[in-house]
Amino acid sequence: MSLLQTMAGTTKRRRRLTDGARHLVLICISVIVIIPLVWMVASSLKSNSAIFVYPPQLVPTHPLFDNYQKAFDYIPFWLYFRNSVIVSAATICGILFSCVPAAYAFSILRWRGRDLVFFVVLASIMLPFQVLMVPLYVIYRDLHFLGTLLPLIVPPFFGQYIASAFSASLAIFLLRQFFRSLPGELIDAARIDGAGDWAILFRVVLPIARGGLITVTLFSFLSSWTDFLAPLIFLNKSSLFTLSLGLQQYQSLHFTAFNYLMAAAFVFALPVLLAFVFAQRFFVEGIALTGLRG
Amino acid sequence: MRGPLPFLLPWLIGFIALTLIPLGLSLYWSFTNYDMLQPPQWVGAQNYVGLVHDPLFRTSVINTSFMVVIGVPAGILLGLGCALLLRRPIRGSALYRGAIFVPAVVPSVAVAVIWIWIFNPDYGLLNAALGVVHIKPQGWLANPSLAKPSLLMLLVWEAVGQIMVLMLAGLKEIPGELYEAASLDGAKPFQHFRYITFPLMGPVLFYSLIVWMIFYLQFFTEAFVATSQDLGEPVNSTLFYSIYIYQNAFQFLKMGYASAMAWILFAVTMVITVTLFRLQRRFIFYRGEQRA
Amino acid sequence: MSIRLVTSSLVGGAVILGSLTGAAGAASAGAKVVNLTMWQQWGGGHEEAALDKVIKEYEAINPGVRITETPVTNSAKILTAISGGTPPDIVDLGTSLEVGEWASRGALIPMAQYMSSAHLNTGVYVPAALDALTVNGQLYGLPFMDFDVGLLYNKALFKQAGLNPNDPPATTQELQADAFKLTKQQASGRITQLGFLPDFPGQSNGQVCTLEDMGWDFGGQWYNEKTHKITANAPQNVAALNYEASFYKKYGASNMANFESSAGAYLTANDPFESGKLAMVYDGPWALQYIEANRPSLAPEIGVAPFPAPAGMSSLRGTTFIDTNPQVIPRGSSDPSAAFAFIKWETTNPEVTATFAQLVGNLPQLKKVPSFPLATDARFQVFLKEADSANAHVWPQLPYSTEYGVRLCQAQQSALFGTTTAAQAMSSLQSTMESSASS
Repeated sequence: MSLLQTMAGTTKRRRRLTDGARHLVLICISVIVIIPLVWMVASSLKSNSAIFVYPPQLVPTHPLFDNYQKAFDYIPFWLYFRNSVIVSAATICGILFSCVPAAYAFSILRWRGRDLVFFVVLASIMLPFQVLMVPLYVIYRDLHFLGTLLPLIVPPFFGQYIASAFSASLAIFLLRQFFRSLPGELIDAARIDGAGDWAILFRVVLPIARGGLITVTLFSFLSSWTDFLAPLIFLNKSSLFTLSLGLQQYQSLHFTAFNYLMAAAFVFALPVLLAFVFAQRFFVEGIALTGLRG
Repeated sequence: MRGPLPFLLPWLIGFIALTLIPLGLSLYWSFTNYDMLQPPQWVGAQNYVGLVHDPLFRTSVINTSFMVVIGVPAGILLGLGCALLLRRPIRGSALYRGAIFVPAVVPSVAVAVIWIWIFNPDYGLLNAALGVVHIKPQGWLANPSLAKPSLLMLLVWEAVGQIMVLMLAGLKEIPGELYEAASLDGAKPFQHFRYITFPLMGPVLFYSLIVWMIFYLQFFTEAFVATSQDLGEPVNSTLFYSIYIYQNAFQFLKMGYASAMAWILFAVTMVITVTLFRLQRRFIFYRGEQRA
Repeated sequence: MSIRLVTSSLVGGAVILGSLTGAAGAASAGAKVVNLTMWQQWGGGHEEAALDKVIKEYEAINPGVRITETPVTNSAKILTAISGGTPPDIVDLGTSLEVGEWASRGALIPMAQYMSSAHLNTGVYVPAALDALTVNGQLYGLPFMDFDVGLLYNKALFKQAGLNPNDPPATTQELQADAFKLTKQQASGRITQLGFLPDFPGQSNGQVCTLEDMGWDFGGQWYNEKTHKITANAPQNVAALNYEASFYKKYGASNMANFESSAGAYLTANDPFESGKLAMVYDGPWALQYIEANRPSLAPEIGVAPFPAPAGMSSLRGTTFIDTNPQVIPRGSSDPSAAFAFIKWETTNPEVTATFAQLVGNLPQLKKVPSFPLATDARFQVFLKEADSANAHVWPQLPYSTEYGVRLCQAQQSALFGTTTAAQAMSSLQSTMESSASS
């Protein structure tokens, strides 16, 4: 055998060993991460007393599939689900509506003071929700928004949305990064052809910035669907509660219906889970272009 | 002049009405006593002075700092580690990625309840697993010294997948030729990491650092749901800054006091972020950009 | 494609907003019936069922009124709704702890303006309950289902430990000695059976925390009505907290915490007392009903006695807090007189009172009620007698009662876990509350 062939053989063997080790570690990590969720689904199929036994049993002996129906009856599940859908849809639409043109203005358009105003947007990423929540509460009270879903629906349409780990300012930042990475020649060519700013946005930029739009849509969906603090503070009418807030109603002062809570939580998590599974490709590609450029 | 104004208008209106004005209001209230039921009364710097003397304020700062200092590096290291494992193509990588990411989409109420069970001293999964290797059962959320680390386990569990996905995207951007060239030069895997991966991941690591630091400084939901019957239990070990703000605002009706706390949080966040940005110029290498 | 995306999101947003405002308009039109919303803190379970029966009865007598109740156990949520201008019409609170704070800030409507036109004579109520609802001389709610606490103990465990089941401890020293005999701790520190858990069930049974009662039990005081001063650091309060901490010190704070947290939720079959792991508890009459429902075999083994006082202070035996479930009308209620009509009927109707008291195991707020089975139980009578004695105290009704209560619990916890001494905890509480009081 030639020297090169020997070397190639050794590398392949080493590769197989390291691949085996990688699989082992990855399996361990995945199992550790997944077990709590497996328990969640398993518990959703047990009776409440069967959950608290020692030693813990992962698989239920007699799965109670009608726990799911009972869970839907225990609290106004579908009402809260509908409210969550309304709030998330509005958040997504609102963020796209207000943040896409703004990001365009901060990236493709050139105007005096642009970077200064963008710095203000960046600074507002650091704004903790706590600083605004009480004044917003009083403002919404005086606007008579408090008995409605408006406190959660209106702000995204005006580029103001803060939830844990995501905000409209972050959306503007991400979209700007995206737009900045697009080939300048296309835009220049369109300008030479006499296209106006709006035309460039809709006919040139948006069609090729699909990844960024999908990324922002997914993040907006995830944060608004699971948002807890804003509904907690701004929603006074129980008929308007979103599901993230409503799940607390499986817990009362002296009793928690664990099995129904787990069933409800599983159904609650499904839409976002499915969205991410189907859009994983766009999501990963989308992140790549935003996190790297300074 | 082509105006940016039409493009900025919705954001601008929102920024003034729903950010600037509330900011101004909360700054004003931080100098008053305000219970939302009656008009605010001016008290000058009394709230700020009161905070300095408030032992629970100090406790909340210490608790939150603990989460930031330990949680941010832990999450980033674990996320990066998982990403490194998945960098080269491997069978089932989509499955591993999905599995590690799933916790991010589970609602916080459910997460808290699941983990409360996991941490149950008598019936919980964690003590059962530790019992197999003969480790004494711990109190976890019931033990003041372990309550924070327990919550941290929960939060990192939720965060790892999100961080991993970001790290993976960053790793994909590093050209494979760099590694091949290094191998030909006889570089070992650790040197690959130290001289290629780590420097080129600078921007991604920095971004994660900032974003997750901000998250841990103000996180609320998981701690609230896990301790809503008795905020901060046990013995205030889980009394985080955001929880104490909520308690002062909505339980004690001290809106002015809570506003002062919120402004201090904002100021601290700004200072840390700006400092990190300044440091970044010296340490982070941006590909394709000239940095003096 | 993108233009459509933008326009569809605009249209979508408009449609959503339109449908919401439209729905709100439709609801307010054509209302001949008086619709009252009530938020209650009983929660779910048999108490809610009992309340629903009472509401149905009222609606049958008053066909023009419909009442919808919702369990809202989080008091901060109720306050947020009141301050937000969208309160319910009636609130059925679980304790009077918030009344002082809410009333002094104008969140509740005083009862005075409705009492005379509705011909309500407050003399029908047990006086202690009215005290809990009086702030600055004004009455802010009507009492319903009073409650207090005493010593519940497990006679079977007493027998097992060689103690006389008919001789419950008469002094706090005896209680401690008995508790130590009743405790079983393994070499690893794990507690399998506990004689007394000083901070259990704490806030869960409607008081600030057990330290509230323990302080009074040791001859202490939390507020001086005459001088209007907080007295958190009174030496008797410190002594009470030291007493509670001594249990934690003996068995190790983490072991005590593990014991409590591994057990099930309070008032479920798996809670420490109902599961037979805890021998004595400072709890109230409703526990009898829950045990009857959850663990019928345990029920006959439960004994009740007035809570012991320190030796030499036997006159303080049977110290307890006395409270009620306040029926209040929040500021902004859509129809306060209709709301008042309901709570007046609810709280002055002897049959309703007797039935409810039997169902939930609380004390009647009326002086005269028809007899009900629980009232003949000697154990229940211990609670009844305590409510009438001078040793039944009300937590001070102040503009900052809630804060005082929350911070008292925090102080108790830090002393029990040894992070501070009892004296430090109480003096720190004193100074914090003094600055809150003066601001």
